[in-house]
Amino acid sequence: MTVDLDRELIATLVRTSDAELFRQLVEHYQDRVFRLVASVLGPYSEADAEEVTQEVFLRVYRQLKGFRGDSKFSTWLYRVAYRRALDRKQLARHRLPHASDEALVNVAGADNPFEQAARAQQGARVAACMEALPDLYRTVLYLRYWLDCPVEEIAELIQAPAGTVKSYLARARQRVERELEKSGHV
Amino acid sequence: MSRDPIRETLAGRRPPRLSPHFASRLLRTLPEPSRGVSASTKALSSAALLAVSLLLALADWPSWLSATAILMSPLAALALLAPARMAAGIAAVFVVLLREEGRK
Repeated sequence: MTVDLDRELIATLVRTSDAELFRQLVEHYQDRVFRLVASVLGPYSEADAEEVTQEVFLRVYRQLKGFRGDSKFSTWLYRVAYRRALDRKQLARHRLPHASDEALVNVAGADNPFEQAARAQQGARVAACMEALPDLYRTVLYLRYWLDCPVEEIAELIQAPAGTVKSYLARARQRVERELEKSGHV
Repeated sequence: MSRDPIRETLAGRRPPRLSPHFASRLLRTLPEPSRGVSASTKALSSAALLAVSLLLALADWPSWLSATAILMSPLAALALLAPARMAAGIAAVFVVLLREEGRK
């Protein structure tokens, strides 16, 4: 699946930094960049995702002159987005070391208080396990199961073949399930 | 317990959406492009320099100063490329020449 903008448009934009062309570029890529950023930050820091997405585009605009076209524009853009999001994630970790408390609040569809409590406990444990995953595993997991991205889009966002994405997903699930088994939640 | 705890946990969190006017708001925060001297300012300053140079060349000045002024005319035309630096350079040359003339 290719979603790259016309090379000519990118070349003109790099040469002129024209704001109207930049608007076209933002409108073309904004949702994908936002999903990538949100998946790195996770479901417990989604408020920051739009702010980081804005920072990503501003940084790219300022550094347009430095884009030499050795790689695809989207590759560069997603790399900038992933790095910026990871930086913000690190900051968020220092500020809010535990996301589990928020997960406790988010219990839907439970019929009675006991079931509600059990689900809340499991939700908190699963959230903690996912947050403990390596960055790339956690990102693909959130992209697939939270943001509902097709594997092909995830492959484009993390610049990896679709087969690798499937393998990351399988390994991430295994790790979470193993951790849950250890703690007796599965 | 759930058969797929990951899906179940994440299903409760609605995916965030980018606000509808994201691109417009972003564009308002873009840094201003560097404001160079406008084309009309360049043309005006170059025309003024040319006029001054020609007046000096035609005036009843010592021949060496007139010759210098004549040489300055094409330089003033080049000021179209870098008006500020060129104007400063030409002004400096004239000041030196006029001071020299004043000493005599």
